[in-house]
Amino acid sequence: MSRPLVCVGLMLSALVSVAADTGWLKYVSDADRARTNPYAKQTDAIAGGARLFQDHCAKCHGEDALGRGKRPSLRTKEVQQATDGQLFSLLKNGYLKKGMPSWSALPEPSRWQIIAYVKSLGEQGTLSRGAGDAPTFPSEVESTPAEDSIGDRWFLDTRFGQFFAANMTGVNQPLPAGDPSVDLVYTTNGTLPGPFAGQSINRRSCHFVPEFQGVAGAGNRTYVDYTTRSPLPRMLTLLTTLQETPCRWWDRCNPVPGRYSCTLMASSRTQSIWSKAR
Amino acid sequence: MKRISALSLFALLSLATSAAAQEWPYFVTYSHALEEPGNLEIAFKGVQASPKYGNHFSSATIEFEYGATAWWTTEVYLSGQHTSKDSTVFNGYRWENRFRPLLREHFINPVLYVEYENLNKADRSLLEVVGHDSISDLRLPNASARAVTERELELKLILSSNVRNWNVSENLISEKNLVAPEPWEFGYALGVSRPLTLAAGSKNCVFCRENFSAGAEIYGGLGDLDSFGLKATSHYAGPTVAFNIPRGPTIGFSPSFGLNANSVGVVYRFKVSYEFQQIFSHFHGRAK
Repeated sequence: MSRPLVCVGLMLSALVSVAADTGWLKYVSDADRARTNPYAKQTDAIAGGARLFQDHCAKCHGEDALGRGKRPSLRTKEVQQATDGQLFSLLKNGYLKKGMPSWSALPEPSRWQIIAYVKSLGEQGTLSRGAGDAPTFPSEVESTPAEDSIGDRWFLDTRFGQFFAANMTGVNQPLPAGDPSVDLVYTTNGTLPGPFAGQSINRRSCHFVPEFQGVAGAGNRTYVDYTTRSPLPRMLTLLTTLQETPCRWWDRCNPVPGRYSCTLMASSRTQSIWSKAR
Repeated sequence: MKRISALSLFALLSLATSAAAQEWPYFVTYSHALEEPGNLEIAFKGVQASPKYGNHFSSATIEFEYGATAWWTTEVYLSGQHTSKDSTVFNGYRWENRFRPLLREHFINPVLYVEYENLNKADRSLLEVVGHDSISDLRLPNASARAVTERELELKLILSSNVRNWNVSENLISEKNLVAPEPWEFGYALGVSRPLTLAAGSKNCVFCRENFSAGAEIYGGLGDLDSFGLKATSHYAGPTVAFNIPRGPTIGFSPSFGLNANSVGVVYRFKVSYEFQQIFSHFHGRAK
Protein backbone atom coordinates (compact mmCIF):
# COMPACT_ATOMS: atom_id res chain seq x y z
CA MET A 1 0.00 0.00 0.00
CA SER A 2 1.37 3.41 -0.86
CA ARG A 3 2.38 5.79 1.86
CA PRO A 4 -0.33 8.39 1.10
CA LEU A 5 -2.99 5.72 1.33
CA VAL A 6 -1.62 4.56 4.66
CA CYS A 7 -1.69 8.14 5.94
CA VAL A 8 -5.27 8.63 4.78
CA GLY A 9 -6.25 5.33 6.34
CA LEU A 10 -4.67 6.27 9.65
CA MET A 11 -6.40 9.61 9.58
CA LEU A 12 -9.82 8.13 8.88
CA SER A 13 -9.43 5.41 11.46
CA ALA A 14 -8.48 8.00 14.04
CA LEU A 15 -11.54 9.96 13.12
CA VAL A 16 -13.98 7.15 13.65
CA SER A 17 -12.34 5.19 16.40
CA VAL A 18 -13.61 7.22 19.29
CA ALA A 19 -15.29 4.36 21.04
CA ALA A 20 -16.71 4.46 24.51
CA ASP A 21 -13.63 4.09 26.61
CA THR A 22 -12.98 4.88 30.20
CA GLY A 23 -9.22 4.54 29.85
CA TRP A 24 -8.93 8.25 30.49
CA LEU A 25 -9.85 7.67 34.12
CA LYS A 26 -6.46 6.20 34.88
CA TYR A 27 -4.77 9.47 33.98
CA VAL A 28 -6.72 11.50 36.51
CA SER A 29 -4.64 12.50 39.50
CA ASP A 30 -5.96 12.21 43.03
CA ALA A 31 -5.93 15.97 43.35
CA ASP A 32 -8.03 16.38 40.23
CA ARG A 33 -10.39 13.61 41.27
CA ALA A 34 -11.15 15.37 44.52
CA ARG A 35 -12.03 18.70 42.94
CA THR A 36 -15.63 19.79 43.35
CA ASN A 37 -17.79 21.68 40.91
CA PRO A 38 -18.52 25.20 42.13
CA TYR A 39 -21.50 25.32 39.80
CA ALA A 40 -23.09 21.98 40.65
CA LYS A 41 -26.89 22.04 40.65
CA GLN A 42 -27.10 25.78 40.03
CA THR A 43 -29.91 26.35 37.58
CA ASP A 44 -28.41 29.37 35.83
CA ALA A 45 -25.02 27.72 35.54
CA ILE A 46 -26.61 24.57 34.14
CA ALA A 47 -28.45 26.68 31.58
CA GLY A 48 -25.15 28.27 30.58
CA GLY A 49 -23.60 24.82 30.45
CA ALA A 50 -26.39 23.67 28.18
CA ARG A 51 -25.57 26.46 25.75
CA LEU A 52 -21.88 25.63 25.82
CA PHE A 53 -22.67 21.97 25.35
CA GLN A 54 -24.76 22.70 22.28
CA ASP A 55 -21.98 24.87 20.84
CA HIS A 56 -19.02 22.62 21.50
CA CYS A 57 -20.09 19.09 22.36
CA ALA A 58 -23.43 18.26 20.78
CA LYS A 59 -22.16 17.65 17.27
CA CYS A 60 -20.09 14.69 18.46
CA HIS A 61 -21.96 13.51 21.52
CA GLY A 62 -25.45 14.34 20.27
CA GLU A 63 -27.82 17.03 21.44
CA ASP A 64 -29.17 14.59 23.99
CA ALA A 65 -25.61 13.55 24.98
CA LEU A 66 -26.45 9.96 24.10
CA GLY A 67 -23.56 9.72 21.68
CA ARG A 68 -23.47 9.72 17.93
CA GLY A 69 -21.98 7.03 15.78
CA LYS A 70 -18.86 5.88 17.56
CA ARG A 71 -18.70 9.00 19.69
CA PRO A 72 -19.58 7.91 23.21
CA SER A 73 -22.67 8.70 25.23
CA LEU A 74 -22.15 11.00 28.19
CA ARG A 75 -25.10 9.46 29.96
CA THR A 76 -23.46 6.16 30.70
CA LYS A 77 -22.97 4.97 34.23
CA GLU A 78 -19.20 5.54 33.91
CA VAL A 79 -19.57 9.19 33.00
CA GLN A 80 -22.46 10.03 35.26
CA GLN A 81 -20.85 8.38 38.25
CA ALA A 82 -17.44 9.90 37.60
CA THR A 83 -16.57 12.68 40.01
CA ASP A 84 -16.80 16.24 38.80
CA GLY A 85 -13.06 16.45 39.19
CA GLN A 86 -12.52 13.48 36.91
CA LEU A 87 -14.70 15.02 34.22
CA PHE A 88 -12.90 18.33 34.64
CA SER A 89 -9.62 16.56 34.08
CA LEU A 90 -11.03 14.95 30.94
CA LEU A 91 -12.16 18.31 29.54
CA LYS A 92 -8.85 19.91 30.38
CA ASN A 93 -6.60 17.18 28.98
CA GLY A 94 -8.83 15.58 26.43
CA TYR A 95 -8.19 12.01 25.44
CA LEU A 96 -6.27 12.79 22.32
CA LYS A 97 -5.44 9.29 21.21
CA LYS A 98 -9.14 8.47 21.17
CA GLY A 99 -10.18 11.68 19.43
CA MET A 100 -11.41 13.69 22.38
CA PRO A 101 -9.77 17.11 22.09
CA SER A 102 -8.51 19.17 24.97
CA TRP A 103 -10.87 21.98 25.93
CA SER A 104 -8.31 23.85 27.95
CA ALA A 105 -8.92 26.96 25.87
CA LEU A 106 -12.37 27.21 27.39
CA PRO A 107 -12.25 29.12 30.67
CA GLU A 108 -12.43 26.96 33.77
CA PRO A 109 -15.85 28.22 34.87
CA SER A 110 -17.24 27.34 31.45
CA ARG A 111 -15.87 23.81 31.74
CA TRP A 112 -17.46 23.42 35.15
CA GLN A 113 -20.74 24.62 33.70
CA ILE A 114 -20.61 21.95 31.00
CA ILE A 115 -19.98 19.33 33.66
CA ALA A 116 -22.88 20.61 35.74
CA TYR A 117 -25.11 20.34 32.69
CA VAL A 118 -23.93 16.86 31.73
CA LYS A 119 -24.44 15.67 35.28
CA SER A 120 -27.94 17.16 35.30
CA LEU A 121 -28.88 14.91 32.39
CA GLY A 122 -28.62 11.74 34.42
CA GLU A 123 -27.97 8.25 33.18
CA GLN A 124 -29.68 7.01 30.08
CA GLY A 125 -32.65 4.82 30.88
CA THR A 126 -33.03 6.15 34.36
CA LEU A 127 -35.10 9.06 35.45
CA SER A 128 -33.26 12.00 36.85
CA ARG A 129 -36.43 13.67 37.92
CA GLY A 130 -39.76 12.10 38.50
CA ALA A 131 -40.47 8.44 37.94
CA GLY A 132 -42.71 6.30 35.83
CA ASP A 133 -43.88 6.61 32.27
CA ALA A 134 -45.21 9.80 30.83
CA PRO A 135 -48.83 10.00 31.84
CA THR A 136 -51.70 10.25 29.46
CA PHE A 137 -53.93 13.27 29.66
CA PRO A 138 -55.78 13.06 32.93
CA SER A 139 -59.48 13.03 32.67
CA GLU A 140 -59.80 15.22 35.69
CA VAL A 141 -57.67 17.20 38.05
CA GLU A 142 -55.54 14.69 39.80
CA SER A 143 -51.86 14.01 40.02
CA THR A 144 -49.73 10.94 39.83
CA PRO A 145 -46.44 10.41 41.61
CA ALA A 146 -44.66 10.96 38.34
CA GLU A 147 -46.35 14.27 37.86
CA ASP A 148 -45.64 15.41 41.37
CA SER A 149 -41.90 15.60 41.11
CA ILE A 150 -41.79 17.20 37.71
CA GLY A 151 -44.60 19.56 38.49
CA ASP A 152 -42.86 20.57 41.65
CA ARG A 153 -39.72 21.10 39.67
CA TRP A 154 -41.49 23.44 37.33
CA PHE A 155 -43.04 25.51 40.03
CA LEU A 156 -40.53 25.45 42.81
CA ASP A 157 -37.12 25.10 41.21
CA THR A 158 -37.63 26.92 37.95
CA ARG A 159 -40.01 29.44 39.42
CA PHE A 160 -42.26 29.06 36.42
CA GLY A 161 -45.37 29.81 38.36
CA GLN A 162 -43.84 32.63 40.33
CA PHE A 163 -42.44 34.31 37.27
CA PHE A 164 -45.66 33.89 35.41
CA ALA A 165 -47.77 35.31 38.17
CA ALA A 166 -45.43 38.17 38.94
CA ASN A 167 -44.85 39.35 35.40
CA MET A 168 -48.14 38.86 33.67
CA THR A 169 -49.64 42.29 33.25
CA GLY A 170 -51.92 41.86 30.29
CA VAL A 171 -52.88 39.52 27.55
CA ASN A 172 -50.19 39.11 24.92
CA GLN A 173 -48.10 41.98 26.23
CA PRO A 174 -44.38 41.47 25.68
CA LEU A 175 -42.42 40.74 28.79
CA PRO A 176 -39.28 42.79 29.39
CA ALA A 177 -36.98 39.85 29.87
CA GLY A 178 -36.75 36.19 29.10
CA ASP A 179 -38.04 33.71 31.61
CA PRO A 180 -35.29 31.48 32.99
CA SER A 181 -37.78 28.70 33.45
CA VAL A 182 -37.80 28.04 29.72
CA ASP A 183 -34.04 27.79 29.43
CA LEU A 184 -34.15 24.09 30.21
CA VAL A 185 -36.81 21.48 29.76
CA TYR A 186 -37.08 18.89 32.46
CA THR A 187 -38.28 15.59 31.16
CA THR A 188 -38.55 12.14 32.58
CA ASN A 189 -35.34 11.31 30.77
CA GLY A 190 -33.34 14.19 32.08
CA THR A 191 -32.77 17.80 31.14
CA LEU A 192 -32.84 19.04 27.60
CA PRO A 193 -31.88 22.46 26.26
CA GLY A 194 -34.89 24.71 26.07
CA PRO A 195 -35.72 25.65 22.50
CA PHE A 196 -37.15 28.92 23.77
CA ALA A 197 -34.22 29.94 25.94
CA GLY A 198 -34.02 33.69 26.22
CA GLN A 199 -37.69 34.18 25.49
CA SER A 200 -40.62 34.72 27.73
CA ILE A 201 -43.30 32.17 28.13
CA ASN A 202 -45.56 31.97 25.17
CA ARG A 203 -47.85 29.42 23.70
CA ARG A 204 -45.19 27.40 22.02
CA SER A 205 -42.82 27.45 24.94
CA CYS A 206 -45.62 26.27 27.17
CA HIS A 207 -46.28 23.41 24.82
CA PHE A 208 -42.96 23.00 22.99
CA VAL A 209 -44.55 20.02 21.38
CA PRO A 210 -43.21 20.32 17.83
CA GLU A 211 -39.65 20.76 19.10
CA PHE A 212 -39.81 17.63 21.19
CA GLN A 213 -41.93 15.33 19.14
CA GLY A 214 -40.47 11.89 19.39
CA VAL A 215 -38.31 12.72 22.40
CA ALA A 216 -39.07 10.33 25.19
CA GLY A 217 -40.47 11.98 28.25
CA ALA A 218 -40.70 15.42 26.74
CA GLY A 219 -43.38 17.41 25.05
CA ASN A 220 -46.82 16.98 26.44
CA ARG A 221 -45.45 15.31 29.50
CA THR A 222 -44.31 18.56 31.01
CA TYR A 223 -47.31 20.41 29.79
CA VAL A 224 -49.60 17.89 31.40
CA ASP A 225 -47.66 18.15 34.61
CA TYR A 226 -47.99 21.88 34.53
CA THR A 227 -51.68 21.88 34.03
CA THR A 228 -52.38 19.32 36.70
CA ARG A 229 -49.97 20.70 39.26
CA SER A 230 -50.41 24.38 38.68
CA PRO A 231 -51.34 26.51 41.64
CA LEU A 232 -54.49 27.59 39.92
CA PRO A 233 -56.34 28.66 43.00
CA ARG A 234 -53.57 31.09 43.81
CA MET A 235 -53.63 32.48 40.30
CA LEU A 236 -57.34 32.59 39.84
CA THR A 237 -57.71 36.24 40.54
CA LEU A 238 -55.25 36.90 37.77
CA LEU A 239 -56.60 34.39 35.35
CA THR A 240 -60.18 35.47 35.61
CA THR A 241 -59.25 38.83 34.17
CA LEU A 242 -57.93 37.26 31.00
CA GLN A 243 -59.72 36.37 27.86
CA GLU A 244 -59.30 32.76 26.92
CA THR A 245 -59.06 31.80 23.32
CA PRO A 246 -59.34 28.15 22.35
CA CYS A 247 -56.15 26.99 20.79
CA ARG A 248 -55.11 23.45 20.16
CA TRP A 249 -51.87 22.06 21.51
CA TRP A 250 -50.20 21.82 18.13
CA ASP A 251 -51.20 25.33 17.29
CA ARG A 252 -48.46 27.73 16.26
CA CYS A 253 -50.76 30.68 16.23
CA ASN A 254 -48.67 32.83 18.53
CA PRO A 255 -45.01 32.12 17.90
CA VAL A 256 -43.88 35.63 18.72
CA PRO A 257 -40.93 35.77 21.12
CA GLY A 258 -41.56 37.80 24.21
CA ARG A 259 -45.29 37.18 24.25
CA TYR A 260 -46.91 35.07 26.84
CA SER A 261 -50.32 33.65 26.63
CA CYS A 262 -50.24 30.44 28.52
CA THR A 263 -53.75 31.02 29.61
CA LEU A 264 -54.73 31.32 25.98
CA MET A 265 -52.98 28.21 24.85
CA ALA A 266 -55.30 25.92 26.61
CA SER A 267 -56.56 22.86 24.91
CA SER A 268 -60.17 22.16 25.51
CA ARG A 269 -59.20 19.62 28.15
CA THR A 270 -57.08 22.13 30.01
CA GLN A 271 -59.82 24.67 29.85
CA SER A 272 -62.01 22.05 31.33
CA ILE A 273 -59.53 21.60 34.15
CA TRP A 274 -59.47 25.32 34.77
CA SER A 275 -63.18 25.51 34.70
CA LYS A 276 -63.37 22.88 37.36
CA ALA A 277 -60.74 24.62 39.42
CA ARG A 278 -62.72 27.81 39.32
CA MET B 1 -16.22 19.44 -13.32
CA LYS B 2 -15.26 22.54 -11.35
CA ARG B 3 -18.91 23.36 -10.96
CA ILE B 4 -19.70 19.90 -9.64
CA SER B 5 -16.83 20.16 -7.18
CA ALA B 6 -18.02 23.55 -6.00
CA LEU B 7 -21.56 22.26 -5.57
CA SER B 8 -20.31 19.22 -3.68
CA LEU B 9 -18.29 21.41 -1.36
CA PHE B 10 -21.27 23.67 -0.77
CA ALA B 11 -23.53 20.69 -0.07
CA LEU B 12 -21.00 19.25 2.34
CA LEU B 13 -20.66 22.49 4.22
CA SER B 14 -24.39 23.07 4.36
CA LEU B 15 -24.82 19.70 6.04
CA ALA B 16 -22.46 20.63 8.80
CA THR B 17 -23.37 22.91 11.65
CA SER B 18 -21.29 25.81 12.68
CA ALA B 19 -19.89 26.95 15.94
CA ALA B 20 -17.28 29.22 17.30
CA ALA B 21 -14.02 27.39 17.69
CA GLN B 22 -12.15 27.53 20.96
CA GLU B 23 -9.34 29.74 19.84
CA TRP B 24 -7.50 32.79 20.97
CA PRO B 25 -7.64 36.14 19.19
CA TYR B 26 -4.18 35.93 17.68
CA PHE B 27 -3.25 36.75 14.11
CA VAL B 28 0.40 35.75 14.02
CA THR B 29 0.94 33.79 17.22
CA TYR B 30 -0.15 30.19 17.52
CA SER B 31 -1.35 28.64 20.76
CA HIS B 32 -1.56 24.92 21.44
CA ALA B 33 -5.28 24.89 20.68
CA LEU B 34 -5.76 22.72 17.63
CA GLU B 35 -8.81 22.35 15.48
CA GLU B 36 -11.25 19.85 16.93
CA PRO B 37 -11.06 16.56 15.01
CA GLY B 38 -13.48 16.42 12.11
CA ASN B 39 -14.11 20.17 12.12
CA LEU B 40 -13.29 22.45 9.21
CA GLU B 41 -12.68 26.12 9.75
CA ILE B 42 -12.68 28.47 6.82
CA ALA B 43 -11.16 31.84 7.52
CA PHE B 44 -10.54 35.02 5.65
CA LYS B 45 -7.56 36.98 6.86
CA GLY B 46 -7.10 40.49 5.60
CA VAL B 47 -4.16 42.82 5.98
CA GLN B 48 -4.08 46.48 5.07
CA ALA B 49 -1.15 48.83 5.34
CA SER B 50 0.42 51.88 3.77
CA PRO B 51 4.18 51.52 3.88
CA LYS B 52 6.07 54.78 3.90
CA TYR B 53 7.18 55.70 0.38
CA GLY B 54 5.19 52.76 -0.90
CA ASN B 55 1.69 52.12 -2.15
CA HIS B 56 -1.21 51.15 0.02
CA PHE B 57 -1.91 47.42 -0.21
CA SER B 58 -4.60 44.98 0.84
CA SER B 59 -3.79 41.34 1.23
CA ALA B 60 -6.33 38.54 1.43
CA THR B 61 -5.69 35.02 2.60
CA ILE B 62 -8.20 32.22 2.59
CA GLU B 63 -7.49 29.52 5.12
CA PHE B 64 -8.91 26.01 5.28
CA GLU B 65 -8.13 24.42 8.61
CA TYR B 66 -9.08 20.85 9.31
CA GLY B 67 -8.76 18.84 12.49
CA ALA B 68 -7.41 15.54 11.21
CA THR B 69 -7.07 14.11 14.70
CA ALA B 70 -7.13 15.55 18.18
CA TRP B 71 -3.32 15.96 17.95
CA TRP B 72 -2.91 16.94 14.29
CA THR B 73 -4.32 19.93 12.44
CA THR B 74 -3.67 20.55 8.78
CA GLU B 75 -4.28 23.77 6.87
CA VAL B 76 -4.10 25.13 3.37
CA TYR B 77 -3.78 28.84 2.64
CA LEU B 78 -4.32 30.70 -0.60
CA SER B 79 -3.05 34.26 -0.75
CA GLY B 80 -3.42 37.25 -2.99
CA GLN B 81 -3.01 40.97 -2.72
CA HIS B 82 -3.92 44.25 -4.32
CA THR B 83 -1.58 47.20 -4.36
CA SER B 84 -2.86 50.66 -5.16
CA LYS B 85 -1.52 52.17 -8.37
CA ASP B 86 -0.12 48.78 -9.22
CA SER B 87 -2.02 45.52 -9.69
CA THR B 88 -3.80 42.60 -8.12
CA VAL B 89 -1.88 39.35 -7.98
CA PHE B 90 -2.26 35.83 -6.69
CA ASN B 91 0.66 34.95 -4.48
CA GLY B 92 0.52 31.21 -4.01
CA TYR B 93 -0.29 28.68 -1.33
CA ARG B 94 0.88 27.31 1.97
CA TRP B 95 0.34 23.86 3.45
CA GLU B 96 0.70 23.82 7.18
CA ASN B 97 0.60 21.02 9.74
CA ARG B 98 0.62 21.24 13.51
CA PHE B 99 1.24 18.33 15.84
CA ARG B 100 0.89 17.98 19.58
CA PRO B 101 3.61 15.60 20.71
CA LEU B 102 2.40 15.46 24.31
CA LEU B 103 -1.08 14.07 24.68
CA ARG B 104 -1.89 15.72 27.97
CA GLU B 105 -2.05 19.28 29.23
CA HIS B 106 1.08 20.60 30.88
CA PHE B 107 2.21 23.93 32.24
CA ILE B 108 3.94 24.53 28.90
CA ASN B 109 2.46 22.71 25.94
CA PRO B 110 4.65 22.29 22.88
CA VAL B 111 3.29 22.05 19.36
CA LEU B 112 5.42 21.26 16.33
CA TYR B 113 4.64 23.24 13.21
CA VAL B 114 5.73 22.31 9.70
CA GLU B 115 4.77 24.35 6.66
CA TYR B 116 5.59 24.24 2.99
CA GLU B 117 5.22 27.54 1.17
CA ASN B 118 5.02 28.17 -2.53
CA LEU B 119 4.66 31.91 -2.76
CA ASN B 120 5.96 34.63 -4.94
CA LYS B 121 7.76 37.57 -3.45
CA ALA B 122 4.71 39.79 -3.87
CA ASP B 123 3.07 38.02 -0.93
CA ARG B 124 2.00 40.55 1.69
CA SER B 125 -0.09 38.37 3.97
CA LEU B 126 2.41 38.95 6.79
CA LEU B 127 1.42 35.72 8.50
CA GLU B 128 4.83 35.81 10.07
CA VAL B 129 7.86 38.08 10.07
CA VAL B 130 11.27 36.40 9.84
CA GLY B 131 14.86 37.14 9.04
CA HIS B 132 15.43 40.61 7.71
CA ASP B 133 11.90 41.14 6.41
CA SER B 134 11.37 44.86 6.30
CA ILE B 135 9.29 47.66 4.90
CA SER B 136 11.43 47.70 1.75
CA ASP B 137 10.02 44.29 0.75
CA LEU B 138 6.58 45.88 0.69
CA ARG B 139 7.66 48.58 -1.76
CA LEU B 140 8.59 46.18 -4.53
CA PRO B 141 6.43 46.56 -7.64
CA ASN B 142 4.17 43.58 -8.18
CA ALA B 143 5.48 42.98 -11.67
CA SER B 144 8.99 42.27 -10.48
CA ALA B 145 8.06 40.69 -7.14
CA ARG B 146 5.67 38.13 -8.60
CA ALA B 147 8.35 36.90 -10.96
CA VAL B 148 10.32 35.50 -8.03
CA THR B 149 8.81 32.35 -6.58
CA GLU B 150 10.02 31.17 -3.23
CA ARG B 151 9.56 27.61 -2.10
CA GLU B 152 10.22 27.55 1.60
CA LEU B 153 10.07 25.25 4.55
CA GLU B 154 8.92 26.87 7.73
CA LEU B 155 9.29 25.25 11.13
CA LYS B 156 7.92 26.59 14.37
CA LEU B 157 8.16 25.53 17.95
CA ILE B 158 4.95 26.64 19.58
CA LEU B 159 4.95 26.85 23.36
CA SER B 160 1.70 27.70 25.01
CA SER B 161 0.27 27.80 28.51
CA ASN B 162 -3.21 28.33 29.87
CA VAL B 163 -2.77 29.84 33.30
CA ARG B 164 -5.67 31.16 35.36
CA ASN B 165 -7.77 31.49 32.21
CA TRP B 166 -5.07 33.49 30.46
CA ASN B 167 -3.26 32.11 27.47
CA VAL B 168 0.42 32.86 27.03
CA SER B 169 2.00 31.65 23.79
CA GLU B 170 5.51 31.86 22.47
CA ASN B 171 6.47 30.90 18.92
CA LEU B 172 10.02 30.37 17.70
CA ILE B 173 10.11 30.49 13.93
CA SER B 174 12.69 29.27 11.42
CA GLU B 175 12.39 29.39 7.66
CA LYS B 176 14.54 28.00 4.85
CA ASN B 177 14.36 28.75 1.17
CA LEU B 178 14.45 25.37 -0.54
CA VAL B 179 15.44 26.74 -3.92
CA ALA B 180 17.78 29.66 -3.45
CA PRO B 181 20.98 29.28 -1.42
CA GLU B 182 19.78 31.43 1.46
CA PRO B 183 20.53 30.81 5.13
CA TRP B 184 17.93 29.80 7.68
CA GLU B 185 15.91 32.80 8.83
CA PHE B 186 14.47 33.22 12.29
CA GLY B 187 11.61 35.04 13.92
CA TYR B 188 9.44 35.12 16.98
CA ALA B 189 5.87 35.80 18.02
CA LEU B 190 4.49 36.23 21.52
CA GLY B 191 0.88 36.54 22.52
CA VAL B 192 -1.20 36.86 25.64
CA SER B 193 -4.97 36.89 25.80
CA ARG B 194 -8.02 36.20 27.91
CA PRO B 195 -11.79 35.97 27.45
CA LEU B 196 -13.57 39.04 28.77
CA THR B 197 -15.67 36.89 31.05
CA LEU B 198 -15.22 33.32 32.13
CA ALA B 199 -18.64 31.81 32.72
CA ALA B 200 -21.42 31.52 30.17
CA GLY B 201 -24.65 33.29 30.95
CA SER B 202 -27.90 31.41 31.15
CA LYS B 203 -29.44 33.24 28.23
CA ASN B 204 -28.47 33.51 24.60
CA CYS B 205 -26.91 36.84 23.87
CA VAL B 206 -24.82 38.37 21.14
CA PHE B 207 -23.06 41.43 22.50
CA CYS B 208 -22.28 40.09 25.94
CA ARG B 209 -18.78 39.82 27.28
CA GLU B 210 -18.58 36.06 27.10
CA ASN B 211 -18.42 36.34 23.31
CA PHE B 212 -15.34 38.55 23.33
CA SER B 213 -11.71 37.86 24.01
CA ALA B 214 -8.84 40.28 23.90
CA GLY B 215 -5.11 40.26 24.15
CA ALA B 216 -1.89 41.52 22.67
CA GLU B 217 0.77 40.27 20.29
CA ILE B 218 4.34 41.15 19.52
CA TYR B 219 6.27 39.59 16.65
CA GLY B 220 9.25 40.20 14.47
CA GLY B 221 12.38 38.92 12.82
CA LEU B 222 15.58 37.68 14.43
CA GLY B 223 17.91 37.78 11.45
CA ASP B 224 19.35 34.69 9.86
CA LEU B 225 21.97 32.08 10.48
CA ASP B 226 24.71 34.37 9.16
CA SER B 227 23.59 37.47 11.05
CA PHE B 228 21.43 36.46 13.99
CA GLY B 229 20.02 39.28 16.09
CA LEU B 230 17.81 42.31 15.93
CA LYS B 231 19.92 44.31 13.48
CA ALA B 232 18.02 45.24 10.30
CA THR B 233 14.87 43.46 11.40
CA SER B 234 11.27 44.63 11.72
CA HIS B 235 8.99 44.27 14.72
CA TYR B 236 5.33 44.85 15.44
CA ALA B 237 3.11 44.94 18.50
CA GLY B 238 -0.54 45.62 19.07
CA PRO B 239 -3.78 44.68 20.75
CA THR B 240 -6.08 42.01 19.39
CA VAL B 241 -9.75 41.41 19.92
CA ALA B 242 -12.07 38.64 18.75
CA PHE B 243 -15.83 38.48 18.77
CA ASN B 244 -17.50 35.08 18.57
CA ILE B 245 -20.97 35.59 17.19
CA PRO B 246 -23.08 32.79 18.69
CA ARG B 247 -23.75 30.13 16.07
CA GLY B 248 -22.04 32.37 13.57
CA PRO B 249 -18.61 33.49 12.50
CA THR B 250 -15.79 34.79 14.63
CA ILE B 251 -14.56 38.25 13.79
CA GLY B 252 -11.14 39.48 14.81
CA PHE B 253 -9.32 42.77 14.53
CA SER B 254 -5.86 43.95 15.40
CA PRO B 255 -3.84 47.05 14.61
CA SER B 256 -0.16 46.13 14.72
CA PHE B 257 2.16 49.02 15.26
CA GLY B 258 5.64 49.05 13.79
CA LEU B 259 8.30 49.30 16.47
CA ASN B 260 11.24 50.52 14.43
CA ALA B 261 12.16 52.22 11.16
CA ASN B 262 12.22 48.92 9.28
CA SER B 263 8.56 48.33 10.09
CA VAL B 264 5.38 49.67 8.54
CA GLY B 265 3.74 52.30 10.74
CA VAL B 266 0.47 50.44 11.28
CA VAL B 267 -0.71 47.16 9.87
CA TYR B 268 -4.45 46.61 10.18
CA ARG B 269 -5.43 43.00 10.42
CA PHE B 270 -8.90 41.55 10.40
CA LYS B 271 -10.22 38.06 10.25
CA VAL B 272 -13.53 36.34 9.74
CA SER B 273 -13.67 32.64 10.42
CA TYR B 274 -16.44 30.12 10.37
CA GLU B 275 -16.21 26.63 11.71
CA PHE B 276 -18.13 23.72 10.29
CA GLN B 277 -18.41 20.92 12.78
CA GLN B 278 -17.98 17.29 11.85
CA ILE B 279 -18.17 17.81 8.12
CA PHE B 280 -17.86 14.11 7.37
CA SER B 281 -20.25 12.86 10.05
CA HIS B 282 -23.10 12.90 7.57
CA PHE B 283 -21.34 10.29 5.47
CA HIS B 284 -20.42 8.21 8.51
CA GLY B 285 -24.08 8.21 9.48
CA ARG B 286 -25.10 6.99 6.05
CA ALA B 287 -22.59 4.23 6.11
CA LYS B 288 -24.07 2.71 9.18
